[in-house]
Amino acid sequence: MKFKVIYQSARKAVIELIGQGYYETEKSYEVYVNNELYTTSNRTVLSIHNLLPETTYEIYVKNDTEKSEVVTITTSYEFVTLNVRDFGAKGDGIQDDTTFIQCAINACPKDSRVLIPAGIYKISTLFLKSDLKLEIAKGAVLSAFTDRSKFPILPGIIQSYDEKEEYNLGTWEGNPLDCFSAIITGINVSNVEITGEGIIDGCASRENWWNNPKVRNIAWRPRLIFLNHCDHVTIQGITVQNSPSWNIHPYFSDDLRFLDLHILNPKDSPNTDGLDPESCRNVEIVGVYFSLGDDCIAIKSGKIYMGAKHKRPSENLEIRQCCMRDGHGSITIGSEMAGGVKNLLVKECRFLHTDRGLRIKTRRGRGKDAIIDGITFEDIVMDHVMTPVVINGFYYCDPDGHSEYVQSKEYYPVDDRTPYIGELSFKNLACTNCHAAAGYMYGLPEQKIKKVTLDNVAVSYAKDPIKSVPAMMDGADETALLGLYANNLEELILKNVTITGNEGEAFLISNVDKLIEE
Amino acid sequence: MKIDRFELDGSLLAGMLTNIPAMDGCLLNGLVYYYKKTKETAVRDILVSYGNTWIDKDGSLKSIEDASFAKFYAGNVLYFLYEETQDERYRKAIESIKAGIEKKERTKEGTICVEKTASDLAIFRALSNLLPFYMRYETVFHKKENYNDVMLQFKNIRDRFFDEDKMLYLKEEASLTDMAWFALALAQTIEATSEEIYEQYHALQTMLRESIKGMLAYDKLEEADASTLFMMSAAMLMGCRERALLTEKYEKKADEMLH
Repeated sequence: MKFKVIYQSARKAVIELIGQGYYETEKSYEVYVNNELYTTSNRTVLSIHNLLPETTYEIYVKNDTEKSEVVTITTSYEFVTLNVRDFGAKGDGIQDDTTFIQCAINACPKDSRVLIPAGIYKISTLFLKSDLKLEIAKGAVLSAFTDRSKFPILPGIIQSYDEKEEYNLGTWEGNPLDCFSAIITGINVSNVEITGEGIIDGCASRENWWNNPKVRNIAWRPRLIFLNHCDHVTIQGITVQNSPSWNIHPYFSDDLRFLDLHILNPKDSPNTDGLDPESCRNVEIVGVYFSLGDDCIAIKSGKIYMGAKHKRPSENLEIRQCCMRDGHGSITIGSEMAGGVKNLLVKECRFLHTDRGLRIKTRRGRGKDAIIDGITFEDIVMDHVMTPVVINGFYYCDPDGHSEYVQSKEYYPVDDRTPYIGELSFKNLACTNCHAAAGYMYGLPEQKIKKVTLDNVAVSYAKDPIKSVPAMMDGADETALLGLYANNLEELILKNVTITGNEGEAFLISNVDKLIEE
Repeated sequence: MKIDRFELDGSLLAGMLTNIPAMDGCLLNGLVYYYKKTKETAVRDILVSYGNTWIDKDGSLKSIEDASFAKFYAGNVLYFLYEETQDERYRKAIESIKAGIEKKERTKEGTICVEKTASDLAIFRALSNLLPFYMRYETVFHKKENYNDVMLQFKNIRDRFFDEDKMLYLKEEASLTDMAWFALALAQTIEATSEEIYEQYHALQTMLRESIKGMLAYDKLEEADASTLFMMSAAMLMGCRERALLTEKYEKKADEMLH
């Protein structure tokens, strides 16, 4: 057995088992810290809590047949702990504890932590600051008010005095619009850790934030965690749930780590995407569990205005050892991707009961900076995913989504409005109990999908498959048991691809310039 | 003329209205904004009464000015009346006016024409009447499907009329009054545009800012008559409210124009 320590701080460590499964291990194992049993687990990524600062620990894991080597760590220095109770927070579920916790945050010196001990803390918005460690302990719940009059507004755009530039704070669905500040908001902060075993609960429901969700009500709905132009932020261990809209939204932020989290929303909750990095670089998402009402992870880079103005793709992202359940797309790229998405690696994950495994949404009009390239999926298990891979060049979003320009399957001249889909690679995918189609890839005739490689991919179907639309575009009818559909690609490589139980042809391939089958 | 305080005399107002949309458009639009701010019942009554004289029981337009572009500007009041009363006659009237857009000739660039032989200046003036109505229709009733067409009209106006050296819409002998009317049309169009189509919303904001800055720097601004100044002021105040213009920089200037 092997593991590595992927994160350590003054009080915590996170370990990741190697070669023991995807999100869950094949058999349970024990974790020993300084020769004492810490816990038994079946998670491939596990947090070790309640360590002490500047202390050396020896860690090993074992199951019924194997034992790992001992890994020694020394936790880092900690100056002081600021307990929010000492600042007047009550955690009684009644008092508005926002100001008291905010005071502790603002007063927290470097190399120190703000501790939120067990209790229910009613809050509206908390603002992070640089060099902050915020620990939400086991039994602690940051429970948000749902009265929107308590939430400040982040204006979308503020003009500079010389009228030449703009300052962007708020955002909604890829546009710089007024939104309520998130329950946890970071603006221009660096070196932040939010850790613990506690919960951040947005308390959203159809009686409040989810009522008339598509209509602006004073401002657009808040996120649970919003990071605007931040860097070096780690969020570890906590549970986030019942978000008013997207759960975790890092925006124009870099060097981010999301480790061992639970992101939970009801299946029918509106726009409750799990984690949406938007125009972010160097993002690591490891050991996260998603169960919610929209896309689990949606990688974005803005709509036309922001994409064209800033040309900032989301790039260098690695997602591994995660479990996505019940959402629309397990991993979605778009639809707001006008700045592009590049270098994405997804591996060793489990997708369960989602509509799509990988879902790419783009369309004419997204712009020439809307480049998707360098996408790799490896070692993925999918079960009861309606359609494992969807690449949709005709996604019918926005008011002109059903227009002739967007939906025509005929050739249009390539111009400044034409998006680009480059190279995608899928390796070692095991997809059982599929429903609609094995895959559905439809590029633009004038700018075909550059290259798709499917290597060791096995697809089989559910006994009673549910008919559904394989891609959200005009002309894609409801279907079940469809094979692999590929249309408008420059190069398609199929190596050891098996499709079992389909109706009709297993491979429906047209307008592919170069087809390699092995 | 200095206005210290603005009061409405209902009977005086009713007498000013001619029941001819081409002539009543400015007053009607102003009354709508006034009512939204003050909620004075008398003003609402005037607007509803006007609507009843303009629209038949079945929603068809009574006015003989049916072919006039000016009815588009007056037609803005119909949206207010529909929202206030939920009377489907007003919806029908709106649809009827909108249908007039589809019947119009177009230039080869796609610009909507008053009539086939209209001069560019006539088209410029006509579009200043039409575009706020058209945009509002697209936002409220048509799922924004023709936003691109509305933006095309603005683009074509800019291409045709904007002098890059003087930073003014003064080609083809457009007057300061024409420019002020266009600025007001821009401001009202922004008001009617969904911010969710942000790239277009922002483009209109930029056009308005450019338009206002140009006029404020114009050496003939001092010759402007009262109605021109009022239109500029209204455009600036609306621009501030829509955050197209910095309140700190423009609100005071707009206020000074009213006095």
